[in-house]
Amino acid sequence: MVFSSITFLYYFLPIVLFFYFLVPWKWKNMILLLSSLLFYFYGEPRYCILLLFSSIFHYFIGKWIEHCHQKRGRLLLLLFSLFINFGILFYFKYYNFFVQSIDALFPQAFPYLNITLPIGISFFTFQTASYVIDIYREKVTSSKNVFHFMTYVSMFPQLIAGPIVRYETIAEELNKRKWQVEEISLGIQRFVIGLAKKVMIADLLGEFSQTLNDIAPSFLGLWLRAIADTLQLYFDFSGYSDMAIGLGLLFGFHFLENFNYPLIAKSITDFWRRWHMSLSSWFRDYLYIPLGGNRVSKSRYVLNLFCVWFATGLWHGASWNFILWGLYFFLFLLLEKWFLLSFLNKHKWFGHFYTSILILISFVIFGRTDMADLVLTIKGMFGLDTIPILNQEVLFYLKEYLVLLFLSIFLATPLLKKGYQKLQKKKKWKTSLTILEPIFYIGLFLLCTAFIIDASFQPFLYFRF
Amino acid sequence: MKDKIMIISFSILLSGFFLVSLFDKDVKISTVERRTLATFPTFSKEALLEGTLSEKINTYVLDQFPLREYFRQAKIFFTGNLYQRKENHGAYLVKDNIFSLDYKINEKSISHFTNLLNSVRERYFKEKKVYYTIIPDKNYYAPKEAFPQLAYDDFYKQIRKKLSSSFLEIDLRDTLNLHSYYRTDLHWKQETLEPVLKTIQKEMKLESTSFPKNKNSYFPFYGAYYSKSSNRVKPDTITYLSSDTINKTKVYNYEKQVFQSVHNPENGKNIDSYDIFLNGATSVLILENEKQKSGRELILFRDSFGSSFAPLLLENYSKIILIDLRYFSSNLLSTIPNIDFEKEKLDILFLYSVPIVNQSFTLK
Repeated sequence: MVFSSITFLYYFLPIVLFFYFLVPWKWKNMILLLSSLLFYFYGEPRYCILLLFSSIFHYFIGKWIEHCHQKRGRLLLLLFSLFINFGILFYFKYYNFFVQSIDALFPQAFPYLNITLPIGISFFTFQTASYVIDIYREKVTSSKNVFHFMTYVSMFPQLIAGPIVRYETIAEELNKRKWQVEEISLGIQRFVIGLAKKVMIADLLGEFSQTLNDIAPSFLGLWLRAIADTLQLYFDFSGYSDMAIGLGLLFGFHFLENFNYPLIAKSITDFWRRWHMSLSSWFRDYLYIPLGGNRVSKSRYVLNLFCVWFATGLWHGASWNFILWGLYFFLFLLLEKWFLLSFLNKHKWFGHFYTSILILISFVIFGRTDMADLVLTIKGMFGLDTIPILNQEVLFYLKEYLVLLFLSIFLATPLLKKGYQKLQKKKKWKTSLTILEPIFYIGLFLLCTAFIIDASFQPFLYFRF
Repeated sequence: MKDKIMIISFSILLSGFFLVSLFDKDVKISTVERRTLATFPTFSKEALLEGTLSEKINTYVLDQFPLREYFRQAKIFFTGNLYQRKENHGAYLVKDNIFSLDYKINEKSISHFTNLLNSVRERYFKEKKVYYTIIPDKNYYAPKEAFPQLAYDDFYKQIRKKLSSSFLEIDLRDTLNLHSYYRTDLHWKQETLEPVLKTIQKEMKLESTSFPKNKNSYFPFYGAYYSKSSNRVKPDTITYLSSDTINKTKVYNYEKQVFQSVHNPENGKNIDSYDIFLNGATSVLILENEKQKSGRELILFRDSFGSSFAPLLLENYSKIILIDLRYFSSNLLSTIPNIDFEKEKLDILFLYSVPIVNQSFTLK
């Protein structure tokens, strides 16, 4: 089930909220667990059992690690759990890619398997991995209740597209949480904003990008498509994260932020502090630091960074373009670390320009699994191909989507948020906003409904990761 | 206070729509969208486990959502006014006229079309004069700067080049204009086809006949493009012409094996009101005009444009056989009753519109 569907918004959500607030405290997690399993079953009936297995397995392995007092035993249990966890991820997500990649060297050495990717597998495997590692490190204590733990793993607000919520973030709230009117209201607002980002901006940008892909290629068309793709990914994914955080607040949970206006970054280093923060911090804490981080020799540091960005790329998809995408960032992060960053910090406008161009190109790599197509696109974008600068079609569609394009660029900056915060501080606006805010959010929600009804069904882009 | 208002209003909104949709009766047909709406799917274990049940439920709730059409209109109003977009689902609005954004020449489709025509001619009408005409779609008459358009000259040239030289072309491009078409639909208007009739009569060396004068009308006609543009334009009016000849002509529906009238205003209530003309899409129709004693016959291979045009040719023929190759295979032509390919007084005309030629793979 997707959040931006009538089934979710007007059927699933009201029923779940009704029962959730109706039952006494001790049953609330059970309601959340059952509704999460139904949510997953609705979209992915076959793999519901996998989700249950992963939850129960990690609950018990976590207990064993905690109760094991031998260092070696604890390590073996941790390695065993990671082997099972990443083994599942490898089998479902990477096996066929692995076979395809070695096929060139050893033809037909391994058979291809007819496997579909379970929704959200990359997210829940990373959550359970962080749980057992944190128990091993004695950073958290294991969950005392199997149903509470299953609720954590399968919680529908963040189950299928993140953010990657660590157990430590919500461990206390799983046992006891408070509801405040302000937070429920904030949850509603955050959810509506996320929904609007997805259905009123991202989906239309996706349409624009698809149209640009279908028309005759031109220099302008290729750059416009790169801009549309970048903005679409941002609004789609950050919109989903907003909805997840908003839903979390409705149920009494506080998930950490996942995006902080990444498209205004002034360096690639800055960009990765703002984009998909739950993933970058996961790799920092569970891969980069265990490898030694930056407190090692120069060559080891390069290797550590390489491993992290190879893995980051691979996490996004089982295809070489994603690995290339990760290594592309590795290269620029290394250059920034060595000498570029201080220059970029001194020349902020150049930094924004440099980062924007690199980000646009990165999402060109990200969006093309066909390497020949990728090379052709990059050549076209830099005038190395014989395509025209523009044509009638691209001008026509630019005119059609121009307002949306400018609006989405504006909304990708914090200008509106800052302006609104200033307005909130003015006394004369306080009373008006009491009435205007609910009207605005109700209107926006209804408008989102209108967009969903009018549009064809579009799954979230991040489902495939 | 503000937060309480927010929570209460959302609770009312969600539960309100939830309850209304539970007790609201399902709507079977959307006239504006010209399609039947989804009904609640039947449950099966296989559908549940394969995930098709949830897909069908999603479609059902989307189709049957309360105030569905108002929501669609709100979206189009919003994108039209805030985003300044004139295009919606491939339909493009220029003033009060809706156009379809189809401007790419499909060369494979043109080849399929011309190969089919060549083979039909070779097989059935080798010794006959065979005429063809390609009806331009209304984009041909749209303001040139409005949106990207098909390279019509190239399109027509390709057809001419790929068809056997024994096909005689009738070019209708100068006989029509933007007002010859409905604003909300792709079809031409019957009442504007006098120049088309005169041109075809002249090219096929037929006697010039008077154009029917009696006008009847049906309102509202929600054309094929109407739903894509929602209520930003008014629906059209269908005008259908009548004359003594048209009224007395018997139409034999080969598919249903029944006789019908040329125009049937009752069909205005169908999903597609254009069915008024010759009862809509049918594989084979035989129009018999007993007033015409010449014994001259016409085999008209046609698409839906032919439904409104064929009655105008009745004064020239005793019999007109309309064949729609989308629904009737060219291999089966000899099974049509009383069809005589060798008949001396027999004319053959292929009348197809640009959109069908450019998407001709349904022609068999």
